Amino acid sequence: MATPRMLTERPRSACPAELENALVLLLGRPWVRSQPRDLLAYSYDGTGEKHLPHVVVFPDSTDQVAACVRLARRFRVPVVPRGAATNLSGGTLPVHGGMVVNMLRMNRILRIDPDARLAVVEAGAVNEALQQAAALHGLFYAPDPSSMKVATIGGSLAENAGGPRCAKYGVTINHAMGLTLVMADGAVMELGGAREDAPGLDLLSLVVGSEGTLGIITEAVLRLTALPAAYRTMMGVFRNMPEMAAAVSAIVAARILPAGMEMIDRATLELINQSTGGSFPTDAEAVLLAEVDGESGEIEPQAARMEQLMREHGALEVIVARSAAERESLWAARRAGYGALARSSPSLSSMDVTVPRDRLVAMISEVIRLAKEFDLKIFLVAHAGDGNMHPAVPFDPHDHAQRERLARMMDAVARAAVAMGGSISGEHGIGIEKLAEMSVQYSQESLDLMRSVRRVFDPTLTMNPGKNIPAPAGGW
Amino acid sequence: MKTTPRTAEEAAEAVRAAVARGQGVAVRGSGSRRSWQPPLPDPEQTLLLDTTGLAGPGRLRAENLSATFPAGLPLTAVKAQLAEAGLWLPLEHADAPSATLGGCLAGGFTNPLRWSRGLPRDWVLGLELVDSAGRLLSLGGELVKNVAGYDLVRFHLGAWGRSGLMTAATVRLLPLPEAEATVTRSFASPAEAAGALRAAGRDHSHPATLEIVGGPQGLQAMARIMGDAGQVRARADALGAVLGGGEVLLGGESAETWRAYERQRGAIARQRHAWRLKLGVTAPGLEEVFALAAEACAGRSWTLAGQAGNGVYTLYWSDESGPLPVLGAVHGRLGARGFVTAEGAAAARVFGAPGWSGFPPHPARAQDSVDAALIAAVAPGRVFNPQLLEGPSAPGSGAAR
Repeated sequence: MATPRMLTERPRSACPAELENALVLLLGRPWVRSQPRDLLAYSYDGTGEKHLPHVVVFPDSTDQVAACVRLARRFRVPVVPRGAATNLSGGTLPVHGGMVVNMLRMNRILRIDPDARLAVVEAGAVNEALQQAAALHGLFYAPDPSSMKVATIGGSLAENAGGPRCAKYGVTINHAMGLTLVMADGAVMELGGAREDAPGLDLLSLVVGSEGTLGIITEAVLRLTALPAAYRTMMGVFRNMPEMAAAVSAIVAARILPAGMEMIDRATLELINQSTGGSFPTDAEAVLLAEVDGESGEIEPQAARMEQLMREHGALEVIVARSAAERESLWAARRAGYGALARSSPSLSSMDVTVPRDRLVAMISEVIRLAKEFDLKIFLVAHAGDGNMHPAVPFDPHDHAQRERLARMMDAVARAAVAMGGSISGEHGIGIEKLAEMSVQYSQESLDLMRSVRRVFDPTLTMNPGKNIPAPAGGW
Repeated sequence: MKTTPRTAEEAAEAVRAAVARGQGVAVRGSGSRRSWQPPLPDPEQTLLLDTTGLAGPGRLRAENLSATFPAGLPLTAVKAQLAEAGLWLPLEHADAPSATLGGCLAGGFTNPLRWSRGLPRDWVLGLELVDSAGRLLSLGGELVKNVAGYDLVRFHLGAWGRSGLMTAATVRLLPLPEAEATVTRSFASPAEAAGALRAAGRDHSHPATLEIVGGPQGLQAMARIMGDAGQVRARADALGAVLGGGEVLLGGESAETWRAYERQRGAIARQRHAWRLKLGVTAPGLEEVFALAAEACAGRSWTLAGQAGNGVYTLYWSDESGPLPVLGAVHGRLGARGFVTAEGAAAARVFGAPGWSGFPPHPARAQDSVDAALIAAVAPGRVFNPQLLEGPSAPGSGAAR
């Protein structure tokens, strides 16, 4: 059963002096931090939980990362890669202490090749910076997590990040062509690259989404996509969530594939309005923000049909963005959703389950029922186009009984999603938060297979230990 | 010994029985990629498992834009079933339309639509697989988004069946494009074609494919537009202007052009003494790769075809003396600037062509030892396709026996 987030900061023993000296020699004094205040700054991520590392390093090249990993291996300390630490499952927490490898100095966009439609970037490059650079060539990088203003490419690759555009454009793995990976023994391996169809197994697909447990990504070759010529964005206002979910199913069944289809319930809309000064309608239970993109002549009929389907399925009103500014305003408000939720409560559990699109109605009803059963307030946001739901529950970390109910609800939500053919995580990852639920989704044979894969890459379990794959019953 | 199971359960039973007898299992679909593979080992030691019996109708979930198909169904049959429901799997086989879905996925086949629609890995959501213990496993599912644990689905794509026996695949779908048009244009030189295709790739007509085929006699570009019926003609005309002219083929004529292209490539591949190599170069690389082919194949009949936008090409040539002279010449000229593979994502050394392993190690082959260890970990005992050689094993992996 998952445990809702708590502060678990614990004192650590000091970084071995010999290791620190070697790191300073390698990187220079400013790029090695071991003072308590520095360690505290790198002890948490988007989950709010805290675990102190022994040392934090700031390498500036793949060679430096590899040298740091070799030193960590020599001194038998865990290695925890870190980007902007926006992940929501504890993937960057140094739960066993060790060396946090901060990738933010490696933030260069090395090359954009508009003819081959690819970008070569360092792992610490920020998603939004890449978007801006690509746009100069009429291109964009499709993955667009809500945290894209600060999230790094390396972090997004490690988490196989998604975003609103996934339903049409796919997730991060669908846009990764190559990686430079520092392995657990400090060796550097190139996987894939600008030249497609590299020989060998598709290790790229294993490493993307592995949450830093198979190595540290230092550079990436990314697929860029031509910017659509036009967008049509609209917002349907619905009486209730099931009607809205039915509209989503009808849109997909009508062979329309929106570039984004986001559902937001009234409670969340109110928070967003308060937080951003926005003007989402709050006189109904939910809104559906949907967008089609492509050639202008092609998307007009799609947009008209989408609007019609929303109305046929109970939309009280459909507001169509009439300008780029109106469109941007709608999306900015949607992206502000998680921040508004996070600010609304001292602690917030943001769940992340996915079901097949045609089970979304059933899953929404089940989540609402579970919230009532466990007497918890719930906010509902979903990337409806790909069946990815984020039920969010505010809680008091000091209220043991409430935390217990929340844990039971999270478990029940995960089980319901899996029973509907879904997944316990659509885009937040497993980290430390959902290790227990892995056995809900996977058989022991599948988990053993994943453990075998991990041992091939990292026999000494140095890389981000305690994440992504649960330990076997008798320990590793 | 040969078996043609009709169900996944029969396939699993066949694998269990083979393992119990101490046999390996050689997996075969339509046989379209046999040319580089060595003869099967002693039939007494190897079970030949023909997957073409796994070929029933697919299970479509239109509201989820997904479908599950048996692995032995030809890709053309998969697409025909989907088209009836107004759905589309944007994968095409360039030179073996009869290839099975499982064979296409296992072999990491080349896909003309990759310029706009990506790789097989972008469309496969789940696999049903028989493992080396003869267990029927279900990997992945019907979700676009699933980041729980390691991705054990895509790992099997391009693994040439060494990691397990695919019995079914679940794929992500798109709405079937309403219409298509193809612009064809001949070019006298690779330089001329390269410039035109580069411009086409940047054009707002958004071509779905940027294909080039040619040889000593010249080159022909084939660029395809897919989409709304009311827009396709105008977009094709715009694309034609960017390409500097050429013929615009609409609707059925366009579709037939691509079928003829597949047949043409298939016929070349099946010719006596024909050999085939896949070249991956930094895109677009068109001039470089045509120059390389001309030099390496001097004095022989040859054709180069592929995805100019992505820098992935297939070189076909004919040589009665065998493949090694051209193979060596290509490898030597390309060096570290590109990849040479027999087809798909399989390592050169996977294949048993005589002399193949004598080439200098490719710079990208640092991953060989990891590959071998992974195959040993997920499919211990080298049960599947034991006739395909593996790369060097990782220390202690037990992969090389």
